Amino acid sequence: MTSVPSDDVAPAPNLPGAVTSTEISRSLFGGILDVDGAGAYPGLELLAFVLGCEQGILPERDEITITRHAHDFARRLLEPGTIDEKSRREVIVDEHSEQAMKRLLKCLTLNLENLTKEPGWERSHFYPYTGSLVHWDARIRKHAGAGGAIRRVQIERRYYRGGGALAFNVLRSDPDRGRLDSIRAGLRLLYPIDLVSPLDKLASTLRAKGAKDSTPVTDEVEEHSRGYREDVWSDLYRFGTANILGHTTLAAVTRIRALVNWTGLWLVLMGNGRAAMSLGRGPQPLVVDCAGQHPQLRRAAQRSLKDHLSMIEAAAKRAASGRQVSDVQIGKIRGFFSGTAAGVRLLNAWKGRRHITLGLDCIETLVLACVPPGREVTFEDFVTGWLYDRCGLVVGREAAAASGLLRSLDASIFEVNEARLAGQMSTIGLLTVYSDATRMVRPGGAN
Amino acid sequence: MNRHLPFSPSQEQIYEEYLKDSDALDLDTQALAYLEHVLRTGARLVILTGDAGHGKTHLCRRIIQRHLGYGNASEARELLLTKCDGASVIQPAPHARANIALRIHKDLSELKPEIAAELLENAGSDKECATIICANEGRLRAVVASSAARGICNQISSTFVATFARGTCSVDGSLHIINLNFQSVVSSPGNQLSLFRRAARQWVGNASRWNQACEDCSSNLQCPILRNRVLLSNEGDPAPKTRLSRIEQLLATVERLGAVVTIREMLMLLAYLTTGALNCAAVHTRVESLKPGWQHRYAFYNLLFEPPENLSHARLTSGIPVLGPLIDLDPGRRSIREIDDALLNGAEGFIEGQLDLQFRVTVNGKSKIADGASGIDDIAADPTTRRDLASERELVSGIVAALRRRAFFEDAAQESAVLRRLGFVYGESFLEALQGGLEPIKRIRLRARLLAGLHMIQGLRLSGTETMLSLADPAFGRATSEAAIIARTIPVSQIQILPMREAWPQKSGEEVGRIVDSVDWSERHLVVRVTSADRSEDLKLDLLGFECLARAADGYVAEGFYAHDLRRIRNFLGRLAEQGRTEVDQIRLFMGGSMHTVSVDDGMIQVAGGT
Repeated sequence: MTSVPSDDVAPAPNLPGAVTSTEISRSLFGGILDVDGAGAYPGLELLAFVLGCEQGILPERDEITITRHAHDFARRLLEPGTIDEKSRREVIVDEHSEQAMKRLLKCLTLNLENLTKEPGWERSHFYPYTGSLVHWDARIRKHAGAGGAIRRVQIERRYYRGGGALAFNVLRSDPDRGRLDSIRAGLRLLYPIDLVSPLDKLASTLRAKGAKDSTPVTDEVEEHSRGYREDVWSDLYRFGTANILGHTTLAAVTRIRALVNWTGLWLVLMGNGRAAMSLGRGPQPLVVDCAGQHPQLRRAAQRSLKDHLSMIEAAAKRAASGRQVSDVQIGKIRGFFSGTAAGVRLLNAWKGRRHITLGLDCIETLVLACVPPGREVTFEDFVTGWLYDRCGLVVGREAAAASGLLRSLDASIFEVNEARLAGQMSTIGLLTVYSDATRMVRPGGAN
Repeated sequence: MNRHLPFSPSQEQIYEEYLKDSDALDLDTQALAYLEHVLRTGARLVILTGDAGHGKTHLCRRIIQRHLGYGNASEARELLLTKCDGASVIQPAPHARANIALRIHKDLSELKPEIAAELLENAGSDKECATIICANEGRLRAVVASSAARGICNQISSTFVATFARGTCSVDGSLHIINLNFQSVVSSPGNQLSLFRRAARQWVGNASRWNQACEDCSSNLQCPILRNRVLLSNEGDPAPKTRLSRIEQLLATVERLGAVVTIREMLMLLAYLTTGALNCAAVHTRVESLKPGWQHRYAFYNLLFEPPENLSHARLTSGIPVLGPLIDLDPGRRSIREIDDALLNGAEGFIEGQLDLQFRVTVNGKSKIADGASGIDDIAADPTTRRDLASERELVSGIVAALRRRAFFEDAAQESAVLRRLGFVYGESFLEALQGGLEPIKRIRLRARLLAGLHMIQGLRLSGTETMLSLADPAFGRATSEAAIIARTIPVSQIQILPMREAWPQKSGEEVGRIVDSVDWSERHLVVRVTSADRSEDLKLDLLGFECLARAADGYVAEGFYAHDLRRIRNFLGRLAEQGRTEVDQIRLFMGGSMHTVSVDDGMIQVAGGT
């Protein structure tokens, strides 16, 4: 049994013989980045791979199989009329208990701020706070049966489009053996098997009632992500992931949130870098407005987002290598980047007049990814060495000078920007100010 | 005073090495007393650390004068310039109190870390001579982490860690670290005046100096600088004393919000709020060229919260950073019914004709002077267009803000009431807790309120008299959660609310120096300490963090405004919840305002009603 992206689910108008967004995305970025899978989905998909892999955590062997859980029973509980009373009572004793479970489960679903109406169960995913909340995409399919068509839950890709598969592949193909082992150890600690929390106990009971692969399956999407070129972006992801997972003094929930965010954030940064490279351009840093005080910086951050998306578009067209490609297909790739950036709080909003900024989740993720466990780095190194040199984000004056922004903008604007970021980090507890000359970045909670 | 402003080209003259005797302001700080004391009692290496502007170099000069006996300040400054390189030894003057020579390095950042580490190693092992080193913490960290670091550097490193962990600045009496970032410019232990008040007395209260300069001045009746001097000089009149006390309270609030105010910054602020960055020539020009009614912009209480027309907000706050958080506290932007009623009706009791209350207004096309002491009736116009309406609105709001500020500085209310006027509803409780030694009933009430706040920000709407701290599973810990699994409960007896001074371990036999004794100390943080069998976890709360929790206890969590504080507190609670999580047969679930129990048996889930 294989699992393939369901491009057939929402067929996009495409020209006969034309190239699809899947092909373009694979050749350009190494994996399938599609608007349907934007936001936190790549992170969720990654963890579904990690916990579902039959060959252990991040196996190095080429062929792997995974066991997928749909968690459909619990997800369908949230959408009225999708499970009959009899099935519900097989797990949940009475109506009171059912209402309680619904309210509890609702708090655990992925927050989809871009939606205006209540999502159906197929779009409701649980945030992977514990191992038994990790699950795969699923939908209702009609199957031919003896007495006519039968509606059955089928595990297949719908929102997990391949971003997580790419991330999974990048992690398990790490040439740095020591780092790979530390990531494996970190993932094991994230979901300890020797301690079953109350939430785990409840979630596993509900998950057992849902659909599950009867035999482990091979995933074609992950298979196709293998062997993509090694570059600084692959290294960046592994470096950040190893750091995030190493912060064991922090709550596991904090690390899980950071890992999911980091996966999305990395895909955006990687996409920006690889798109620029494919067009033969130098680094195209993203201008971040953290201060919200200077209209010039706000405009620069808005323009930077537009330029980034235009570059993705141009790179996608170029990757089509002269073959026809529809605007809809290009839009799917472009939409992934804007949607994911908004989802990880790299943008101020999902819709409307958007600019690049650093929301609290984003700041926390970047700090956890930057600082090795038990260590601290200076704020200057964080802003210049990490945010700019490695992630391609312009916040401070030095980064602005290096990226040539000081030709059009005043340096003091970036000083204020940097100071504002420092202020925010200090309030969250991610920055310790020892003196005006010494500001050290370290994840809160580390002793 | 103008030289102390960051906008003045002659500002470099305020640096200790270049100061003239006539401009010197010798404030006796606790750090100076401590430094003298430890040098007398056997210290061999003293490190002065902290932000630029705390007075590290000044302390060196004073110690040359007072301890080594070089009574002349100019002579001491000369030694500062020529001998304070870390290599030269300064012998005590013949009649000096000191019995040992001193070696001083006034700025360690001038040296490479390896060379500086070598210097520290040599200094620490020198029995013939004591050494004072000035270094900011960044440089000190680099030095003790350099390849040349050995025994003494390691000792510095561990003492430095003890500074934050245990509140000590020396463990053996030989090596001391005086961290001036803990120094407060408004601390007034016992009956002593604060550093700010002493500076104000010397600069603003020095009657002979002012009289000499201003008595025969043709512009003295129109001069805003002189007006500020009158408002702030303490010559037996209680009103200036109240005003100075208000400024102190504002600075204390800023410190309790996490800002570090250096002595240099405090002096810059004092110079700015007295002069408004004007000098005598500028005042004469204005008096001659402008119609009366411009001076109110330069009243000290307006300068504190609103830049004058010739200075931009950015320039002002980058030059005098403490003005940034001060502007956020502007009492002119807060409406309090009873105060506003009195101000607008002219019933506040301001004497008419005061220079700082004269406003030039244009009403119905005619320019005139309105006296703020009579309220705002004089400026009521009859706007007929939107533009007139907007202009009247701007005019009135400007005057009302100025009147509210003036009223804030006139009212002899308690400090706690002052915080309420600045928008901190629970400021009084915060101050009480900072003082420590709360009566049991007050302590229990305070803990109950913070407990209710901690519950509320996790979405647990429990009663205000809970005796257990319930910790939601971190997967749920949000204020908007409809339901949450309780991961852990902690009895309130294991929770303490302590001021910083008490949160540090009490002095043990070996420790000889404590931070609170080494600087002008003021309490800025509370610590919520949760103790369990094997460890204790601390949550540090500044004024804003405390206010966030105390307000949350009332039932509403302002997620946006307190986003950063909430993130930090929730991370702390999440960590606590995970630490004590155990496997249990019955799951506790909070939902709809009450606790429920969930049992999972044979794959069946049952939730039992609220308890």
